[in-house]
Amino acid sequence: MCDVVSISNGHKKYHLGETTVQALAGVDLNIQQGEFVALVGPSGSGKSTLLNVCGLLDTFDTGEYQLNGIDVHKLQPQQLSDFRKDNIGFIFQSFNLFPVMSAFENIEYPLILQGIPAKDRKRQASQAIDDVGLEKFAYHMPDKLSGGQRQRVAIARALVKQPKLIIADEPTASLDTDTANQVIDLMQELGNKKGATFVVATHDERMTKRCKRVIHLIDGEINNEMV
Amino acid sequence: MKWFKFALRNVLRNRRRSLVTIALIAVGAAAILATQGFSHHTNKMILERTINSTGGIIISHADFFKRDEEKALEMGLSDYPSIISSLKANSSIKHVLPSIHFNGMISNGDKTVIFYGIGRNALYFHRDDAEINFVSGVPLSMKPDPNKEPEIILGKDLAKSLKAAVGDSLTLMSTTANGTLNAIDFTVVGTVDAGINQLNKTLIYTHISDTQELLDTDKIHTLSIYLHDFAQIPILLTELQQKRPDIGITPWSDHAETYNKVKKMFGSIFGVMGIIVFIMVAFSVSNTMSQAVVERTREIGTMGALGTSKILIITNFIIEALIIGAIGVAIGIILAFMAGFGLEILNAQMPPGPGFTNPYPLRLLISASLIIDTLISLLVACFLASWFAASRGVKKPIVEALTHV
Ligand SMILES: Nc1ncnc2c1ncn2[C@@H]1O[C@H](COP(=O)(O)OP(=O)(O)OP(=O)(O)O)[C@@H](O)[C@H]1O
Ligand SMILES: [Mg+2]
Repeated sequence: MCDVVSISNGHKKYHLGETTVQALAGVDLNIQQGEFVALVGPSGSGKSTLLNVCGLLDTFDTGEYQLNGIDVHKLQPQQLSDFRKDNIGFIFQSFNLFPVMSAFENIEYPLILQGIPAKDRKRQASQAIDDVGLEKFAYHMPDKLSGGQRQRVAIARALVKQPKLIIADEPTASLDTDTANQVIDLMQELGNKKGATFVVATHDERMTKRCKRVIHLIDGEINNEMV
Repeated sequence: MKWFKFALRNVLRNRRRSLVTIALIAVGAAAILATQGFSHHTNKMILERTINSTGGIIISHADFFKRDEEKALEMGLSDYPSIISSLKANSSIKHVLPSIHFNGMISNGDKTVIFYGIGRNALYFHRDDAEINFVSGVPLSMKPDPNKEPEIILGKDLAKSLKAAVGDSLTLMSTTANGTLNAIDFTVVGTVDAGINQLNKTLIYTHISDTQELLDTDKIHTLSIYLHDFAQIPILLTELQQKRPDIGITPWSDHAETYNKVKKMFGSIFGVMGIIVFIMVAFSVSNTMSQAVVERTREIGTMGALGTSKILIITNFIIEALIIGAIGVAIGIILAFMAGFGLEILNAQMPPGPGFTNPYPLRLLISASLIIDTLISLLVACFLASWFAASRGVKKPIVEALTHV
């Protein structure tokens, strides 16, 4: 099976005045289609940095990155943007729903960007909102939804376009335990059902316990990989 | 449509800020419309008065308006009767009226002063749309009695200075076309307010035929063509100019000094005003949109992460600014019309300009083209300002924008 993510020897430095922070120091990582990968490690270990590169929001200083077989480092900013539009879904710690759009419109948004005709778009968005169990809340604005409901809308928004890869940076960090568990269950369930590939950065024990594959990052290096 | 809906919701999101911006645009638009409307109305009024007085097209000797005459009627027209008859058939023409401009001395026996005279056809005063302000007496007669003394009309201050009233006899002295001095007695039939102080002190009107007799000539200076419709002026002008390149055929605007001066003055005053409002609107919208952009940094980051192009993100802010601008201008239009209506009801008057004698109505002429110009120019201001603000906003790298708090 083809690797969705194939990274070799990824490096990234940040410069803060005089000091240099080695955020990623030689990362090798392969993720297959349909995998649900947890990325763990202490604060500052480089999880977010790695996810940003994986999600094409940022680039390595040096290193190779192939996404779905494409050498993404060679793409221009506009091509990266289009690539994200079609192939990558995002779930954020603080949900990042668009406050002027209803739950349904938030879920429709990626499809609008893709230029999908209204009829198909509505159908797909309805399916996605059903999948996360929020059909009754379709016309609620985000500020009228609970944290868990918002994150479920965000999950539907990430999944609706059936992307190659879904990036989630601390998706449960803003939620209470019960809600977090539900959100984790939902992501895993939908990941299985849709064959979606997830990379999830987390501090959350609850998450790591449920993941088949957990990657440990320490000081920008992948320390040990357990299957 | 979707984008419009989202933009509208974003406008409503920070209602207070949007309202302040809309109010400012409304006031700016109303200011432009009111000042321009006032200037257009005044221009139009002067234009109509001028054309009513001078005619729309003036036919003269080719050099008449170019240099001074050394002898009376040196640059007069002698074949004018044939020109008049050649214009008879033209249905767009109401009247073709001759005039002679002349100077001399006028005396009541005790006191002699200089005058500026215009020899006119009596029809000039009897046109149904004639705008001549008689203080006393009547216009020149259409059929003067050949057995009586010739008729004269005086500017009101000239009459005062000569202590002349209707029915009094005065002597006009002037140099004839061949340079000799001539004098004829005239009877005052009326006095007029010409609207301009200087004219009121010197102006006289006499019949063309009496003027020709005084000046011992059969020529005239100008033929004024009065048309049914101002719009016909340029058409007839070129037609006549092509037909008679040998004589001077000029539009009224070549000789309308007051009109041209006023128009130029208003143009520069209100042009500056328009620029100030444009800049004010641009700054205020840019400020509003910049605040919105900063507040929504994380949303912009999220849009970018989901693959929204920069152009589309910028477009969203531009649509918002255009909504704000359109609402503002719409309110401004209503305000300006209300102001115009108020002036109408109050019958507001402007004091006479320097050198003029009469107040004139303060009204606003708000035409469709003025509204469209105002709308477009202020929307352009909104467009540029929001583009500027938003394009600075989308420069921030997505990763930074997403972590913005
Ligand atoms: N924009 C930046 N400028 C400077 N240094 C940065 C920047 N982003 C990250 N870093 C540094 O890079 C290192 C890795 O940061 P990163 O955010 O990837 O860690 P993390 O594992 O996601 O941490 P956390 O669990 O706290 O989210 C840290 O030392 C951090 O301070
Ligand atoms: Mg992090």
